[in-house]
Amino acid sequence: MSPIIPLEIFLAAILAGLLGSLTGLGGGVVLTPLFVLFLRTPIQYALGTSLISTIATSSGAASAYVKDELSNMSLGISLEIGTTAGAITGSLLLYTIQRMGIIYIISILFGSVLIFSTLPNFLRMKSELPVNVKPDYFTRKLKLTGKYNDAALKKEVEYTARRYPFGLAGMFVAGLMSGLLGIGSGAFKVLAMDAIMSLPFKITTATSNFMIGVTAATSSGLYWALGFIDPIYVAATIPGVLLGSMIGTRYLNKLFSRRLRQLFTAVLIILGVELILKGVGISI
Amino acid sequence: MKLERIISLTLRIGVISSSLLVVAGLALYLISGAKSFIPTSELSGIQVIKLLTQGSPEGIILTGVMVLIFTPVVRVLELLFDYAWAKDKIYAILSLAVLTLMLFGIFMLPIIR
Repeated sequence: MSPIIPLEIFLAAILAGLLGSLTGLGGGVVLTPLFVLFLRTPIQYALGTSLISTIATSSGAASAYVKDELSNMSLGISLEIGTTAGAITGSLLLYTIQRMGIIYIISILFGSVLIFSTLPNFLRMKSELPVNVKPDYFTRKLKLTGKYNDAALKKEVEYTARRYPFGLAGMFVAGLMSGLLGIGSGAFKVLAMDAIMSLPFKITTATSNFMIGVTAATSSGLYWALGFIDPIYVAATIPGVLLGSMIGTRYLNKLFSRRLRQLFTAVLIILGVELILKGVGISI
Repeated sequence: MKLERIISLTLRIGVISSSLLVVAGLALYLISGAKSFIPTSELSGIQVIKLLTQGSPEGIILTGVMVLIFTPVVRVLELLFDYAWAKDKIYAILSLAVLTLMLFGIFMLPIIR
């Protein structure tokens, strides 16, 4: 491998980290299309690299959130049962697909999930807090309540999670997508906690970040055994994606307007479409 | 120390040390010139440590990857201890279940291959 290649990987990773944090989708889901479409990386290595770098970015972000007491660790643990079980299923499914020699299906699926993940950016997002959430059996049994200081609203907000079994089922799907596609699938996790369990947005994003590392680590065993983890790709990607997402959250998020961010989201949709086309054998 | 601080510190140490390892390994690889790597499918954790002690770039990078993979495992382990200490039975069982699923994924799944 010539030294140019690690440099290209590093630059693509910075771009993925930037786009991931500006669109709120996370670096992993952007990394794979950039690698596959622009660097012509075999999709297996793209998935392995993005899975590992997802652990780095989510742990980095989570360490900040825990200190701010925004992520609810009990809620996280109670739902990680679903994401880890899903991750095992998802990585086994990927293993089967690889063995059957139909890996192009992953490309199609990845493109579709990428497009789906951008949906909340267009629908979003009433920032109101959920009100009148009635606690149910599991809320009491698992003590799924909490409070946090909302900096924007300048008050203490109390919250209650409900419909735990359905939330858990949603988490299984999120974990499955993570294991199958090597992504953090934060969008699915946030959706499950937001729409199903009626939790405030701040808590869902912070807690989801916390769960992503646990989910991705679970799939990593099989990715390793399949030889999807390329040392050079991983080593050039981790610092790049960390740098990119740090610049994105610290400096650019305040600079860019909502409209500009939607433009970036549109770019991701185009990448998603290209991945699907590549999967079905049409290249442009 | 509060649990939140311990966990935050664990995550930070994990990410920073693994980043340093992969960057050091990559730098060494670029200096020492191209060598072909053994795919991870042919390498066990113990072999990676052996490569690390020989100062091979691949060994250093993959040790960093292993540190990263075990960071969330340690995080769940810390939660398990905390719940057990507080005699919170339900959550001790839940975190034990998560830990079991993780270790199954990391150590057992590769065997089926």
